[in-house]
Amino acid sequence: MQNAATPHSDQCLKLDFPSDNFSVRQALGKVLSLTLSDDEKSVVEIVLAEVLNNIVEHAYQEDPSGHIQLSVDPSDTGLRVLVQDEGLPLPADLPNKQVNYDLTCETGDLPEGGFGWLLVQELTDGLQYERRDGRNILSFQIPKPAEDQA
Amino acid sequence: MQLTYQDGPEARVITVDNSRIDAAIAIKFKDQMRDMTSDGPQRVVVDMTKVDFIDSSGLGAIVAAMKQVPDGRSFELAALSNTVGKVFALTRMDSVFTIHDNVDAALDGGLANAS
Repeated sequence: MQNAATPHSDQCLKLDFPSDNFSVRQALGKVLSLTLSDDEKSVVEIVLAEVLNNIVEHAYQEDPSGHIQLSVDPSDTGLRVLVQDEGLPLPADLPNKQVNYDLTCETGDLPEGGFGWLLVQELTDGLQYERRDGRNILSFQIPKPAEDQA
Repeated sequence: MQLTYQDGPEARVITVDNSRIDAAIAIKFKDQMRDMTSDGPQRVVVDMTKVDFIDSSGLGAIVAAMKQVPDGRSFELAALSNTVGKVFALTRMDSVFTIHDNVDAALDGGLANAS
């Protein structure tokens, strides 16, 4: 990797891309090319895939002409992430919703959805959502796994 | 979406040849799984070795695939990657599925002892 020697903190990445699945995958690839441990990569991929897919699917309702702005700023304690779009707002109760489901039920009653936001909540710190001037502004941190901290 | 299977005396091993199970292939995954789990050996082990990543839609498809398996048949998973294992653990789905370290462990000797 050409920027492998770049100090961690200088790697701030700012991307602006259209709301289609291909562009989302490309953006994800760029984030994963930052200098991150394998553990960080796997968490970043899970979280950003969910957040960006939600924007494509729900905020823009699969309309590929929307725009997504993503900034990822590595710090000593993890990654600070800011995601903005101009699509529909998040459901009012979602940002603070406690996702809970019963897994002791019969196999036939197991949930097949509702996992996405749970994963985002579980894997991020300081998750904040704001609707401002027709924009969705979602910010959070992805903490560095304990074993990676010096 | 690419699934293949091989039958041994004890189990049908279904191999997933995709590196990702996500929204793009979730429905095909579920449909192909329905075909592959409706007959053959009673025990089904899904080899996930090649799957690097699943998202919430992929997890939903795997749960749906398990739910549609006829009564009396198993639907077990083997060889989850670090990332895939994390998704199962965080959603507590690891408590619902039988998960093996690898296919050999699942079969305790492998398919090789077929006659």
